[in-house]
Amino acid sequence: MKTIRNRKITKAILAVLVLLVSAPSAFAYPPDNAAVLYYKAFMLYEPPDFVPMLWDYWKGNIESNEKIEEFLKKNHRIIDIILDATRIDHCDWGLDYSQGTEVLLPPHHKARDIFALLAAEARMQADRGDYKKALARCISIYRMARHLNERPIVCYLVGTAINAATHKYLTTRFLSEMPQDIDTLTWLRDEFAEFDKQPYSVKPALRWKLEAGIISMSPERIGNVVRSGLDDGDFKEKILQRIATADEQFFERNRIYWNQYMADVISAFDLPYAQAYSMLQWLDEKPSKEFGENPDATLTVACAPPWQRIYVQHVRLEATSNAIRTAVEVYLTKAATGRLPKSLPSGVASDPYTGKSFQYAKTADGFVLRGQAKNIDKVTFHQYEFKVKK
Amino acid sequence: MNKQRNQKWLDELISRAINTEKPQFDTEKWKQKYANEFQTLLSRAAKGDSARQPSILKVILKSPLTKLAAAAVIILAISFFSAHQDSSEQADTTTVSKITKSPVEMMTAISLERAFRRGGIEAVEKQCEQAFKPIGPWPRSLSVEQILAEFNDKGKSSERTRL
Repeated sequence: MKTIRNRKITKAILAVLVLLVSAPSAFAYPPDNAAVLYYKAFMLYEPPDFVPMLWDYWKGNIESNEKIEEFLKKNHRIIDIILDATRIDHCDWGLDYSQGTEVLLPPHHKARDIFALLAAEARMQADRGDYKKALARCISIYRMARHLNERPIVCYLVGTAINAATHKYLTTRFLSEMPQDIDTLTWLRDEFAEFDKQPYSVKPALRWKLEAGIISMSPERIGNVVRSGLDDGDFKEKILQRIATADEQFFERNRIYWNQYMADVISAFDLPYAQAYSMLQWLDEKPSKEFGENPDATLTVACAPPWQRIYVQHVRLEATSNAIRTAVEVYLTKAATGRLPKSLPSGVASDPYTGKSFQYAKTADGFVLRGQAKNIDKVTFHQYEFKVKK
Repeated sequence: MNKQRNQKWLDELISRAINTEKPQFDTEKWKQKYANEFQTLLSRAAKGDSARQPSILKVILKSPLTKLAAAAVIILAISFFSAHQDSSEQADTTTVSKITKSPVEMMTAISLERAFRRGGIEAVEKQCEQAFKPIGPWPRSLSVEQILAEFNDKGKSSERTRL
Protein backbone atom coordinates (compact mmCIF):
# COMPACT_ATOMS: atom_id res chain seq x y z
CA MET A 1 0.00 0.00 0.00
CA LYS A 2 2.81 2.34 1.00
CA THR A 3 4.78 1.46 -2.15
CA ILE A 4 1.78 2.31 -4.39
CA ARG A 5 1.38 5.68 -2.69
CA ASN A 6 5.13 6.37 -3.08
CA ARG A 7 4.93 5.55 -6.79
CA LYS A 8 2.07 7.99 -7.24
CA ILE A 9 4.00 10.73 -5.45
CA THR A 10 7.08 10.01 -7.58
CA LYS A 11 4.98 10.19 -10.78
CA ALA A 12 3.43 13.49 -9.66
CA ILE A 13 6.85 14.95 -8.86
CA LEU A 14 8.17 13.82 -12.26
CA ALA A 15 5.19 15.35 -14.05
CA VAL A 16 5.72 18.67 -12.25
CA LEU A 17 9.44 18.56 -13.11
CA VAL A 18 8.69 17.90 -16.79
CA LEU A 19 6.27 20.82 -16.83
CA LEU A 20 8.77 23.11 -15.12
CA VAL A 21 11.52 22.17 -17.55
CA SER A 22 9.42 22.34 -20.72
CA ALA A 23 7.37 25.45 -19.91
CA PRO A 24 10.19 28.00 -20.26
CA SER A 25 11.31 26.53 -23.60
CA ALA A 26 7.73 26.46 -24.91
CA PHE A 27 7.24 30.17 -24.22
CA ALA A 28 10.83 31.25 -24.87
CA TYR A 29 11.58 34.32 -26.91
CA PRO A 30 13.38 34.58 -29.24
CA PRO A 31 12.57 31.24 -30.88
CA ASP A 32 15.38 28.92 -31.93
CA ASN A 33 14.60 29.43 -35.63
CA ALA A 34 15.42 32.89 -37.03
CA ALA A 35 13.15 32.38 -40.05
CA VAL A 36 10.07 32.65 -37.81
CA LEU A 37 11.05 36.20 -36.91
CA TYR A 38 11.97 37.11 -40.48
CA TYR A 39 8.59 35.91 -41.76
CA LYS A 40 6.93 37.92 -38.99
CA ALA A 41 8.83 41.07 -39.94
CA PHE A 42 8.16 40.53 -43.66
CA MET A 43 4.46 40.32 -42.87
CA LEU A 44 4.29 43.37 -40.60
CA TYR A 45 6.58 45.78 -42.41
CA GLU A 46 5.03 48.20 -44.81
CA PRO A 47 7.56 50.21 -46.86
CA PRO A 48 6.93 53.98 -46.83
CA ASP A 49 5.44 55.92 -49.71
CA PHE A 50 8.82 57.68 -50.02
CA VAL A 51 11.01 54.63 -50.76
CA PRO A 52 13.37 56.51 -53.16
CA MET A 53 14.06 59.10 -50.43
CA LEU A 54 14.80 56.34 -47.90
CA TRP A 55 17.21 54.70 -50.38
CA ASP A 56 18.90 58.04 -51.05
CA TYR A 57 19.30 58.49 -47.32
CA TRP A 58 20.96 55.17 -46.50
CA LYS A 59 23.20 55.52 -49.55
CA GLY A 60 24.39 58.82 -48.09
CA ASN A 61 23.08 60.96 -50.96
CA ILE A 62 20.85 63.13 -48.74
CA GLU A 63 20.73 64.33 -45.16
CA SER A 64 18.22 63.02 -42.65
CA ASN A 65 14.88 64.78 -42.27
CA GLU A 66 11.80 64.65 -40.04
CA LYS A 67 9.97 62.24 -42.32
CA ILE A 68 12.79 59.67 -42.19
CA GLU A 69 13.30 60.05 -38.43
CA GLU A 70 9.60 59.62 -37.78
CA PHE A 71 9.48 56.57 -40.05
CA LEU A 72 12.40 54.88 -38.28
CA LYS A 73 10.82 55.63 -34.90
CA LYS A 74 7.53 54.15 -36.06
CA ASN A 75 9.26 50.95 -37.20
CA HIS A 76 11.54 50.35 -34.21
CA ARG A 77 9.61 47.16 -33.33
CA ILE A 78 10.32 45.71 -36.78
CA ILE A 79 14.00 46.64 -36.45
CA ASP A 80 14.12 44.92 -33.05
CA ILE A 81 12.51 41.76 -34.46
CA ILE A 82 15.12 41.61 -37.24
CA LEU A 83 17.99 42.27 -34.87
CA ASP A 84 16.73 39.44 -32.65
CA ALA A 85 16.56 37.17 -35.69
CA THR A 86 20.13 37.96 -36.73
CA ARG A 87 21.41 36.88 -33.29
CA ILE A 88 19.97 33.37 -33.73
CA ASP A 89 22.33 30.81 -35.25
CA HIS A 90 19.77 28.46 -36.72
CA CYS A 91 17.63 29.59 -39.66
CA ASP A 92 15.30 27.21 -41.46
CA TRP A 93 12.92 28.77 -44.01
CA GLY A 94 10.92 25.56 -44.23
CA LEU A 95 11.58 24.91 -47.91
CA ASP A 96 10.45 21.61 -49.39
CA TYR A 97 13.61 20.46 -51.13
CA SER A 98 11.99 17.25 -52.32
CA GLN A 99 10.38 19.41 -55.05
CA GLY A 100 13.76 19.82 -56.77
CA THR A 101 14.10 23.01 -58.79
CA GLU A 102 10.37 23.62 -58.33
CA VAL A 103 10.87 24.38 -54.63
CA LEU A 104 8.90 27.46 -53.58
CA LEU A 105 11.14 30.23 -52.30
CA PRO A 106 10.47 32.69 -49.45
CA PRO A 107 9.37 36.26 -50.31
CA HIS A 108 12.89 37.57 -50.69
CA HIS A 109 11.75 40.85 -52.20
CA LYS A 110 10.59 41.68 -48.66
CA ALA A 111 14.16 41.04 -47.47
CA ARG A 112 15.26 43.91 -49.67
CA ASP A 113 12.69 46.23 -48.06
CA ILE A 114 13.78 45.14 -44.60
CA PHE A 115 17.41 45.63 -45.59
CA ALA A 116 16.65 49.25 -46.60
CA LEU A 117 15.04 49.82 -43.19
CA LEU A 118 18.07 48.44 -41.32
CA ALA A 119 20.46 50.33 -43.59
CA ALA A 120 18.63 53.60 -42.92
CA GLU A 121 18.79 52.92 -39.18
CA ALA A 122 22.54 52.22 -39.47
CA ARG A 123 23.00 55.49 -41.32
CA MET A 124 21.01 57.29 -38.59
CA GLN A 125 23.33 55.87 -35.91
CA ALA A 126 26.36 57.08 -37.88
CA ASP A 127 24.80 60.55 -38.25
CA ARG A 128 24.46 60.65 -34.47
CA GLY A 129 28.14 59.77 -34.15
CA ASP A 130 27.59 56.28 -32.73
CA TYR A 131 29.76 54.43 -35.24
CA LYS A 132 30.03 51.29 -33.17
CA LYS A 133 26.25 50.90 -33.26
CA ALA A 134 26.23 51.74 -36.98
CA LEU A 135 28.85 49.05 -37.66
CA ALA A 136 26.95 46.61 -35.42
CA ARG A 137 23.96 47.11 -37.73
CA CYS A 138 26.23 46.24 -40.68
CA ILE A 139 27.24 43.02 -38.94
CA SER A 140 23.53 42.27 -38.36
CA ILE A 141 22.85 42.80 -42.06
CA TYR A 142 25.70 40.42 -42.96
CA ARG A 143 24.17 37.83 -40.64
CA MET A 144 20.74 38.37 -42.20
CA ALA A 145 22.28 37.84 -45.66
CA ARG A 146 23.86 34.61 -44.42
CA HIS A 147 20.44 33.49 -43.17
CA LEU A 148 18.90 34.34 -46.53
CA ASN A 149 21.50 32.18 -48.27
CA GLU A 150 19.45 29.02 -48.36
CA ARG A 151 20.43 26.34 -50.84
CA PRO A 152 18.71 27.63 -54.03
CA ILE A 153 20.93 29.83 -56.23
CA VAL A 154 18.40 32.68 -56.18
CA CYS A 155 18.63 32.86 -52.37
CA TYR A 156 22.41 33.08 -52.68
CA LEU A 157 22.07 35.92 -55.19
CA VAL A 158 19.65 37.89 -52.99
CA GLY A 159 22.05 37.58 -50.04
CA THR A 160 24.95 38.59 -52.28
CA ALA A 161 23.16 41.75 -53.42
CA ILE A 162 22.47 42.73 -49.80
CA ASN A 163 26.07 42.07 -48.75
CA ALA A 164 27.48 44.03 -51.68
CA ALA A 165 25.29 47.06 -50.93
CA THR A 166 26.28 46.95 -47.24
CA HIS A 167 29.99 46.79 -48.11
CA LYS A 168 29.81 49.64 -50.56
CA TYR A 169 27.43 52.12 -49.00
CA LEU A 170 27.63 51.42 -45.28
CA THR A 171 30.73 49.67 -43.91
CA THR A 172 33.25 51.39 -46.22
CA ARG A 173 31.71 54.80 -45.60
CA PHE A 174 31.42 54.41 -41.84
CA LEU A 175 35.09 53.38 -41.68
CA SER A 176 35.96 56.44 -43.77
CA GLU A 177 33.90 58.86 -41.67
CA MET A 178 34.65 57.66 -38.13
CA PRO A 179 37.57 58.64 -35.94
CA GLN A 180 40.14 55.81 -35.61
CA ASP A 181 38.96 54.42 -32.31
CA ILE A 182 41.06 51.41 -31.38
CA ASP A 183 38.31 49.75 -29.29
CA THR A 184 35.68 49.95 -32.01
CA LEU A 185 38.11 48.75 -34.69
CA THR A 186 39.32 45.83 -32.56
CA TRP A 187 35.71 44.91 -31.85
CA LEU A 188 34.94 45.04 -35.60
CA ARG A 189 37.94 42.85 -36.42
CA ASP A 190 36.77 40.28 -33.86
CA GLU A 191 33.24 40.38 -35.25
CA PHE A 192 34.55 39.68 -38.76
CA ALA A 193 36.72 36.85 -37.42
CA GLU A 194 33.69 35.34 -35.67
CA PHE A 195 31.56 35.75 -38.80
CA ASP A 196 34.22 34.14 -40.99
CA LYS A 197 34.06 30.92 -38.97
CA GLN A 198 30.89 30.31 -40.94
CA PRO A 199 31.53 32.45 -44.04
CA TYR A 200 29.02 33.48 -46.67
CA SER A 201 29.51 30.88 -49.36
CA VAL A 202 28.25 29.80 -52.77
CA LYS A 203 29.10 26.14 -52.11
CA PRO A 204 25.73 25.04 -50.57
CA ALA A 205 23.93 26.54 -53.58
CA LEU A 206 26.14 24.65 -56.03
CA ARG A 207 25.75 21.33 -54.23
CA TRP A 208 21.99 21.72 -53.97
CA LYS A 209 21.66 22.64 -57.64
CA LEU A 210 23.23 19.29 -58.51
CA GLU A 211 20.72 17.40 -56.30
CA ALA A 212 17.74 19.51 -57.40
CA GLY A 213 18.52 18.89 -61.07
CA ILE A 214 18.52 15.14 -60.52
CA ILE A 215 15.16 15.32 -58.71
CA SER A 216 13.69 17.43 -61.50
CA MET A 217 14.92 15.16 -64.30
CA SER A 218 12.05 12.72 -63.94
CA PRO A 219 9.15 12.14 -66.35
CA GLU A 220 6.66 13.57 -63.79
CA ARG A 221 8.49 16.82 -63.10
CA ILE A 222 10.52 17.78 -66.14
CA GLY A 223 7.62 19.19 -68.19
CA ASN A 224 6.87 21.87 -65.59
CA VAL A 225 10.55 22.60 -65.10
CA VAL A 226 11.07 23.26 -68.82
CA ARG A 227 7.90 25.37 -69.05
CA SER A 228 8.95 27.51 -66.06
CA GLY A 229 12.68 27.60 -66.71
CA LEU A 230 12.92 28.53 -70.37
CA ASP A 231 11.62 31.43 -72.42
CA ASP A 232 9.01 30.63 -75.03
CA GLY A 233 10.40 29.81 -78.47
CA ASP A 234 11.53 27.10 -80.87
CA PHE A 235 14.23 25.85 -78.52
CA LYS A 236 11.74 25.25 -75.72
CA GLU A 237 9.36 23.54 -78.12
CA LYS A 238 12.11 21.20 -79.33
CA ILE A 239 12.96 20.21 -75.75
CA LEU A 240 9.29 19.58 -74.95
CA GLN A 241 8.98 17.43 -78.08
CA ARG A 242 11.99 15.33 -77.03
CA ILE A 243 10.51 14.90 -73.55
CA ALA A 244 7.15 13.84 -74.99
CA THR A 245 8.75 10.89 -76.77
CA ALA A 246 11.37 10.08 -74.12
CA ASP A 247 11.81 6.73 -72.37
CA GLU A 248 13.36 5.97 -68.97
CA GLN A 249 16.83 5.51 -70.58
CA PHE A 250 16.67 9.06 -71.94
CA PHE A 251 16.15 10.39 -68.40
CA GLU A 252 18.88 8.17 -66.97
CA ARG A 253 21.44 9.31 -69.58
CA ASN A 254 20.44 12.95 -69.02
CA ARG A 255 20.95 12.58 -65.25
CA ILE A 256 24.45 11.15 -65.86
CA TYR A 257 25.26 14.08 -68.17
CA TRP A 258 23.98 16.57 -65.56
CA ASN A 259 25.95 14.91 -62.78
CA GLN A 260 29.20 15.23 -64.72
CA TYR A 261 28.36 18.74 -65.87
CA MET A 262 27.70 19.93 -62.30
CA ALA A 263 30.87 18.25 -61.01
CA ASP A 264 32.78 20.35 -63.57
CA VAL A 265 30.93 23.51 -62.51
CA ILE A 266 31.68 22.95 -58.82
CA SER A 267 35.38 22.33 -59.55
CA ALA A 268 35.53 25.41 -61.77
CA PHE A 269 34.47 27.66 -58.87
CA ASP A 270 37.63 26.56 -57.01
CA LEU A 271 40.02 27.42 -59.87
CA PRO A 272 42.04 30.66 -59.97
CA TYR A 273 39.97 33.53 -61.34
CA ALA A 274 41.16 33.61 -64.96
CA GLN A 275 40.76 29.85 -65.42
CA ALA A 276 37.44 29.71 -63.63
CA TYR A 277 36.10 32.56 -65.74
CA SER A 278 37.00 30.81 -69.02
CA MET A 279 35.95 27.37 -67.81
CA LEU A 280 32.51 28.61 -66.74
CA GLN A 281 32.00 30.43 -70.01
CA TRP A 282 32.75 27.18 -71.81
CA LEU A 283 30.40 25.24 -69.47
CA ASP A 284 27.61 27.81 -70.04
CA GLU A 285 27.79 27.21 -73.79
CA LYS A 286 28.51 23.47 -73.80
CA PRO A 287 24.95 22.00 -73.35
CA SER A 288 23.38 24.30 -75.96
CA LYS A 289 26.15 23.50 -78.45
CA GLU A 290 25.82 19.76 -77.90
CA PHE A 291 22.02 19.82 -77.84
CA GLY A 292 21.62 19.18 -81.59
CA GLU A 293 23.85 16.10 -81.73
CA ASN A 294 23.62 14.76 -78.18
CA PRO A 295 20.14 14.11 -76.68
CA ASP A 296 21.80 13.52 -73.28
CA ALA A 297 22.40 17.27 -73.00
CA THR A 298 18.70 18.11 -73.43
CA LEU A 299 17.66 18.46 -69.79
CA THR A 300 20.87 20.21 -68.74
CA VAL A 301 19.98 23.00 -71.16
CA ALA A 302 16.70 23.44 -69.27
CA CYS A 303 18.19 23.35 -65.75
CA ALA A 304 21.51 25.20 -65.94
CA PRO A 305 21.62 28.84 -64.81
CA PRO A 306 24.20 31.31 -66.20
CA TRP A 307 27.19 30.11 -64.17
CA GLN A 308 29.72 32.64 -65.33
CA ARG A 309 27.47 35.51 -64.29
CA ILE A 310 26.97 33.94 -60.87
CA TYR A 311 30.72 33.40 -60.54
CA VAL A 312 31.43 37.06 -61.33
CA GLN A 313 29.06 38.14 -58.52
CA HIS A 314 30.70 35.64 -56.19
CA VAL A 315 34.26 36.85 -56.82
CA ARG A 316 33.31 40.52 -56.74
CA LEU A 317 31.71 40.04 -53.32
CA GLU A 318 34.70 38.11 -52.01
CA ALA A 319 37.08 40.83 -53.22
CA THR A 320 35.09 43.59 -51.50
CA SER A 321 34.80 41.57 -48.26
CA ASN A 322 38.56 40.98 -48.25
CA ALA A 323 39.29 44.62 -49.03
CA ILE A 324 37.19 45.73 -46.04
CA ARG A 325 38.94 43.28 -43.70
CA THR A 326 42.31 44.52 -45.00
CA ALA A 327 41.22 48.13 -44.51
CA VAL A 328 40.33 47.44 -40.86
CA GLU A 329 43.94 46.33 -40.30
CA VAL A 330 45.21 49.53 -41.91
CA TYR A 331 42.89 51.66 -39.74
CA LEU A 332 44.03 49.74 -36.65
CA THR A 333 47.66 50.60 -37.44
CA LYS A 334 46.64 54.23 -37.85
CA ALA A 335 44.79 54.12 -34.53
CA ALA A 336 47.77 52.57 -32.75
CA THR A 337 50.59 54.63 -34.29
CA GLY A 338 48.85 57.78 -35.45
CA ARG A 339 50.06 57.14 -39.02
CA LEU A 340 49.00 55.07 -41.97
CA PRO A 341 51.34 52.10 -42.53
CA LYS A 342 53.91 52.24 -45.34
CA SER A 343 52.81 48.82 -46.57
CA LEU A 344 50.05 46.37 -45.75
CA PRO A 345 50.39 44.48 -42.47
CA SER A 346 51.26 40.79 -42.91
CA GLY A 347 48.57 38.12 -42.92
CA VAL A 348 45.84 40.29 -44.44
CA ALA A 349 43.16 38.82 -46.72
CA SER A 350 44.11 38.44 -50.39
CA ASP A 351 42.55 39.67 -53.59
CA PRO A 352 40.63 36.70 -55.05
CA TYR A 353 41.22 37.97 -58.60
CA THR A 354 44.97 37.44 -58.24
CA GLY A 355 45.35 35.29 -55.14
CA LYS A 356 47.85 37.87 -53.86
CA SER A 357 47.61 40.82 -51.48
CA PHE A 358 45.93 44.00 -52.70
CA GLN A 359 48.20 46.76 -53.94
CA TYR A 360 48.19 49.44 -51.27
CA ALA A 361 48.76 53.15 -51.82
CA LYS A 362 48.23 56.28 -49.74
CA THR A 363 46.10 59.05 -51.22
CA ALA A 364 45.56 62.71 -50.32
CA ASP A 365 42.69 61.90 -47.97
CA GLY A 366 43.23 58.23 -47.10
CA PHE A 367 44.35 55.10 -48.90
CA VAL A 368 43.37 52.81 -51.72
CA LEU A 369 43.48 49.04 -52.25
CA ARG A 370 43.91 47.95 -55.87
CA GLY A 371 43.63 44.72 -57.75
CA GLN A 372 43.51 43.57 -61.32
CA ALA A 373 41.47 40.86 -62.95
CA LYS A 374 43.03 39.17 -65.98
CA ASN A 375 40.72 37.30 -68.30
CA ILE A 376 41.63 35.73 -71.61
CA ASP A 377 40.18 38.64 -73.54
CA LYS A 378 40.74 41.63 -71.21
CA VAL A 379 42.32 43.01 -68.07
CA THR A 380 40.11 44.99 -65.70
CA PHE A 381 41.22 47.01 -62.68
CA HIS A 382 39.28 47.42 -59.49
CA GLN A 383 40.00 49.59 -56.51
CA TYR A 384 38.53 50.30 -53.11
CA GLU A 385 38.94 53.79 -51.74
CA PHE A 386 38.99 54.50 -48.01
CA LYS A 387 39.20 57.93 -46.44
CA VAL A 388 40.81 58.71 -43.13
CA LYS A 389 39.14 61.18 -40.80
CA LYS A 390 41.69 63.77 -39.72
CA MET B 1 -39.73 19.43 -28.50
CA ASN B 2 -37.94 21.15 -25.65
CA LYS B 3 -36.36 23.55 -28.08
CA GLN B 4 -39.79 24.53 -29.51
CA ARG B 5 -41.22 25.06 -26.01
CA ASN B 6 -38.26 27.22 -25.08
CA GLN B 7 -38.69 29.22 -28.27
CA LYS B 8 -42.40 29.86 -27.48
CA TRP B 9 -41.55 30.86 -23.94
CA LEU B 10 -38.91 33.24 -25.21
CA ASP B 11 -41.37 34.81 -27.70
CA GLU B 12 -43.95 35.38 -24.95
CA LEU B 13 -41.30 36.90 -22.71
CA ILE B 14 -40.26 39.31 -25.44
CA SER B 15 -43.91 40.21 -26.18
CA ARG B 16 -44.48 41.08 -22.56
CA ALA B 17 -41.35 43.17 -22.39
CA ILE B 18 -42.12 45.16 -25.56
CA ASN B 19 -45.51 45.64 -27.22
CA THR B 20 -45.26 43.63 -30.43
CA GLU B 21 -48.91 44.00 -31.54
CA LYS B 22 -49.49 45.60 -34.94
CA PRO B 23 -50.61 49.29 -34.34
CA GLN B 24 -54.14 50.22 -35.64
CA PHE B 25 -54.66 53.68 -37.20
CA ASP B 26 -57.98 55.34 -36.23
CA THR B 27 -58.69 58.13 -38.83
CA GLU B 28 -61.67 59.65 -37.05
CA LYS B 29 -59.85 60.01 -33.76
CA TRP B 30 -56.90 61.59 -35.55
CA LYS B 31 -59.22 64.13 -37.32
CA GLN B 32 -60.72 65.18 -34.01
CA LYS B 33 -57.36 65.44 -32.24
CA TYR B 34 -55.66 67.46 -35.04
CA ALA B 35 -58.66 69.42 -36.48
CA ASN B 36 -56.63 72.53 -37.49
CA GLU B 37 -53.91 70.57 -39.29
CA PHE B 38 -56.62 68.56 -41.11
CA GLN B 39 -58.33 71.77 -42.34
CA THR B 40 -55.04 73.18 -43.63
CA LEU B 41 -54.43 70.01 -45.63
CA LEU B 42 -57.93 70.19 -47.14
CA SER B 43 -57.48 73.85 -48.17
CA ARG B 44 -54.12 73.06 -49.90
CA ALA B 45 -55.73 70.33 -51.95
CA ALA B 46 -58.51 72.74 -53.06
CA LYS B 47 -56.04 75.39 -54.38
CA GLY B 48 -55.69 73.49 -57.63
CA ASP B 49 -52.89 71.75 -59.57
CA SER B 50 -51.14 74.87 -60.98
CA ALA B 51 -49.05 75.50 -57.84
CA ARG B 52 -47.72 71.95 -57.79
CA GLN B 53 -47.28 71.53 -61.58
CA PRO B 54 -43.71 70.26 -62.28
CA SER B 55 -41.38 72.47 -64.32
CA ILE B 56 -40.26 71.52 -67.87
CA LEU B 57 -36.75 70.77 -66.57
CA LYS B 58 -38.18 68.31 -64.03
CA VAL B 59 -40.20 66.61 -66.74
CA ILE B 60 -37.13 66.27 -68.94
CA LEU B 61 -34.99 64.92 -66.08
CA LYS B 62 -37.66 62.42 -65.08
CA SER B 63 -38.08 61.14 -68.61
CA PRO B 64 -36.83 57.54 -69.16
CA LEU B 65 -35.30 58.64 -72.48
CA THR B 66 -33.14 61.23 -70.69
CA LYS B 67 -31.98 58.60 -68.20
CA LEU B 68 -31.08 56.26 -71.05
CA ALA B 69 -29.11 58.98 -72.82
CA ALA B 70 -27.22 59.84 -69.62
CA ALA B 71 -26.30 56.19 -69.10
CA ALA B 72 -25.03 55.97 -72.69
CA VAL B 73 -22.83 59.07 -72.20
CA ILE B 74 -21.32 57.61 -69.00
CA ILE B 75 -20.57 54.26 -70.70
CA LEU B 76 -18.97 56.07 -73.67
CA ALA B 77 -16.84 58.19 -71.34
CA ILE B 78 -15.58 55.14 -69.43
CA SER B 79 -14.71 53.25 -72.65
CA PHE B 80 -12.94 56.34 -74.04
CA PHE B 81 -10.91 56.70 -70.80
CA SER B 82 -9.84 53.06 -70.68
CA ALA B 83 -8.96 53.01 -74.38
CA HIS B 84 -6.69 56.04 -73.97
CA GLN B 85 -5.15 54.96 -70.67
CA ASP B 86 -1.33 54.88 -70.52
CA SER B 87 -0.09 51.56 -71.90
CA SER B 88 2.42 51.16 -69.04
CA GLU B 89 -0.40 51.33 -66.48
CA GLN B 90 -2.26 48.58 -68.28
CA ALA B 91 0.81 46.40 -68.74
CA ASP B 92 1.22 45.98 -65.00
CA THR B 93 -1.99 44.02 -64.62
CA THR B 94 -1.31 41.69 -67.51
CA THR B 95 2.37 40.91 -66.89
CA VAL B 96 1.60 38.27 -64.27
CA SER B 97 -0.55 36.20 -66.56
CA LYS B 98 1.83 36.75 -69.47
CA ILE B 99 4.95 35.45 -67.71
CA THR B 100 3.50 32.48 -65.86
CA LYS B 101 0.14 31.21 -64.81
CA SER B 102 0.05 31.58 -61.06
CA PRO B 103 1.94 33.23 -58.17
CA VAL B 104 3.01 29.76 -57.01
CA GLU B 105 4.65 29.04 -60.37
CA MET B 106 6.33 32.43 -60.28
CA MET B 107 7.92 31.69 -56.90
CA THR B 108 9.66 28.43 -57.84
CA ALA B 109 13.46 28.35 -57.88
CA ILE B 110 13.59 27.49 -61.59
CA SER B 111 11.21 30.30 -62.56
CA LEU B 112 13.19 32.86 -60.54
CA GLU B 113 16.44 31.59 -62.08
CA ARG B 114 14.91 32.28 -65.46
CA ALA B 115 14.11 35.84 -64.28
CA PHE B 116 17.74 36.23 -63.17
CA ARG B 117 18.98 35.05 -66.58
CA ARG B 118 16.76 37.63 -68.21
CA GLY B 119 17.34 40.69 -66.02
CA GLY B 120 19.59 40.00 -63.03
CA ILE B 121 18.61 40.34 -59.39
CA GLU B 122 16.24 43.24 -60.12
CA ALA B 123 14.16 40.96 -62.33
CA VAL B 124 14.05 38.37 -59.53
CA GLU B 125 12.74 40.96 -57.06
CA LYS B 126 10.23 42.29 -59.56
CA GLN B 127 8.88 38.80 -60.20
CA CYS B 128 8.57 38.17 -56.43
CA GLU B 129 6.65 41.44 -56.05
CA GLN B 130 4.32 40.52 -58.90
CA ALA B 131 3.73 37.09 -57.43
CA PHE B 132 2.75 38.51 -54.06
CA LYS B 133 0.65 41.38 -55.41
CA PRO B 134 -2.56 39.40 -55.96
CA ILE B 135 -2.33 37.29 -52.80
CA GLY B 136 -1.29 39.62 -50.04
CA PRO B 137 0.29 39.27 -47.55
CA TRP B 138 -2.22 41.76 -45.99
CA PRO B 139 -4.77 44.23 -47.29
CA ARG B 140 -3.69 47.80 -46.64
CA SER B 141 -6.29 48.34 -43.90
CA LEU B 142 -8.54 45.84 -42.22
CA SER B 143 -10.36 46.58 -38.99
CA VAL B 144 -11.54 44.02 -36.45
CA GLU B 145 -15.12 45.09 -37.23
CA GLN B 146 -14.58 44.29 -40.91
CA ILE B 147 -13.14 40.88 -40.08
CA LEU B 148 -16.12 40.11 -37.79
CA ALA B 149 -18.58 41.35 -40.37
CA GLU B 150 -16.97 39.21 -43.07
CA PHE B 151 -17.01 36.25 -40.73
CA ASN B 152 -20.66 36.64 -39.65
CA ASP B 153 -22.43 37.86 -42.74
CA LYS B 154 -20.81 39.12 -45.92
CA GLY B 155 -23.88 41.04 -47.07
CA LYS B 156 -24.11 43.23 -44.00
CA SER B 157 -20.41 44.02 -43.74
CA SER B 158 -20.75 47.69 -44.62
CA GLU B 159 -23.47 48.30 -41.99
CA ARG B 160 -21.44 46.60 -39.28
CA THR B 161 -18.31 48.49 -40.20
CA ARG B 162 -20.17 51.73 -39.54
CA LEU B 163 -20.99 50.56 -36.01
